[in-house]
Amino acid sequence: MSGLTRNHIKSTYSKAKESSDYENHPWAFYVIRPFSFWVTPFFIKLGFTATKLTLFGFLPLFAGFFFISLAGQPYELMLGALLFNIWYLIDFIDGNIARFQKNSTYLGKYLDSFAGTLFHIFIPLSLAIFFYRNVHIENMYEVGMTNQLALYLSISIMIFFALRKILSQKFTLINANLSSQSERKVNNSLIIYLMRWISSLKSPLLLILSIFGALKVWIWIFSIYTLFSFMGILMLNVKKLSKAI
Amino acid sequence: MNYTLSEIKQTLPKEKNLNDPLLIRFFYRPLSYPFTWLLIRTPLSANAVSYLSALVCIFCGALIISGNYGYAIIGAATFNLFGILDCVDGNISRLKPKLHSYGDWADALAGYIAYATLLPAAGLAVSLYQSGDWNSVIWLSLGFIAAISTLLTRLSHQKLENLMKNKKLNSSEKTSLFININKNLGITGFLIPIVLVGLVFNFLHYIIVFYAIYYLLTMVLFIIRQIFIVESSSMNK
Repeated sequence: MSGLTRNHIKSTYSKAKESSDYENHPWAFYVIRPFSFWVTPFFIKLGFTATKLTLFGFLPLFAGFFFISLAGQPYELMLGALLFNIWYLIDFIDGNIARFQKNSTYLGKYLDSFAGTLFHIFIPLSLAIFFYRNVHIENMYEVGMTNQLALYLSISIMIFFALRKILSQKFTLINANLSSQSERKVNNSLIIYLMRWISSLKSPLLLILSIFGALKVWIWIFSIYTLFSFMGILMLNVKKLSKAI
Repeated sequence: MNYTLSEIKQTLPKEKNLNDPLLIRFFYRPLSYPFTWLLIRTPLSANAVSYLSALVCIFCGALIISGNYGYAIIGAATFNLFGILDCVDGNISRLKPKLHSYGDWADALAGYIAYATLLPAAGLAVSLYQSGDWNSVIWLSLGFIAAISTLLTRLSHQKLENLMKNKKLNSSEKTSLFININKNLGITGFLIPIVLVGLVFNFLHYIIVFYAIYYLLTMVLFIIRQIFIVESSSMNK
């Protein structure tokens, strides 16, 4: 174990996984995944299994949530955003460990998927709480948005995200084969590719925009994104249904 | 094909009727038969009726938050049409079995839309018509908390089912007391009528607080329970 290097970890990274990263998480494919190969040996040497690291990942996730929700200073917003990015990195490291140690479990998969859902919910929820706490501050009209509108849009991001995910899960459950075939077909679409790029930039954009004090721009981008991606999934699934009948 | 009312009633399996929430058994289902009798004579499929019920929810939600108290009451009352149509799509799918595929998905879609529209709309209705401060964000936020909590509980359930497709999960789940209570408090249970009554008699704020706490607690307990299910099945592997 002492001679464990990045190359040992990378050797377990299959072509299928690489292709899935490229299609679904472009930001991770170019930046986070390569970096995760470097740091994974360090976590293995510390004795982390994949499930243990997934559990450990809840720490930055909850800390990020509390820092942004209760932020009183700009640096607390930045720190919260940074912690969300650290969770995002950990999410890739635990996958590397599971593949390297060949010890993936149902519990690990469930917790990983649960943490992923929390990540997508916690960012808008923490922003909603932040803007709720500051909703009565006057002269906070920035980038075409009051704090009250920022609160409502943050909540709508959560609702449309949950609706989109739940409909996809339900559809996958009903017909896994049909879903995966159609997914492959739409992968070539420029719009879908663009949507995935935007989605994978959720945490880095949060960090950059928190540094520039422009978190409302993040809310604009992702409220439009979640609404359109929900409508897209809805139409795609209805189209599949009408073909299946 | 022209079915009679008794033919439509006969298609309902007794076991399904017993597992349904009380309001479905004694209110929505009986009302759904004449609607089915009418709609079966149209080219509408079961899935189309499910989509129609989702549109009904959006329309009624818009009426509730219109700012006009009269329209809000009409919206809350008309929301009951969702409960009726939810039964109608099932009736049609049993009468036209070859014409419905993935009806479960379309039916679920309507249910999710119903939760996502009714609870936030009811929250905003408290701010608009009952709290006296339409600018207050607390009620809408509580409505959203209730909606997002119940949606996440369902999402978590779907994920677990997808994850463990090949594993038999606890079969007592469908008949447990908690599930029965949950069904009866849900969108095809007493939720729609209680929102209407709360709106008419000015106690909607209690309803919103109750549902926000109830669904939030349910979500937390449900996820903890799921972790135990996954953990125990990993051990049995």
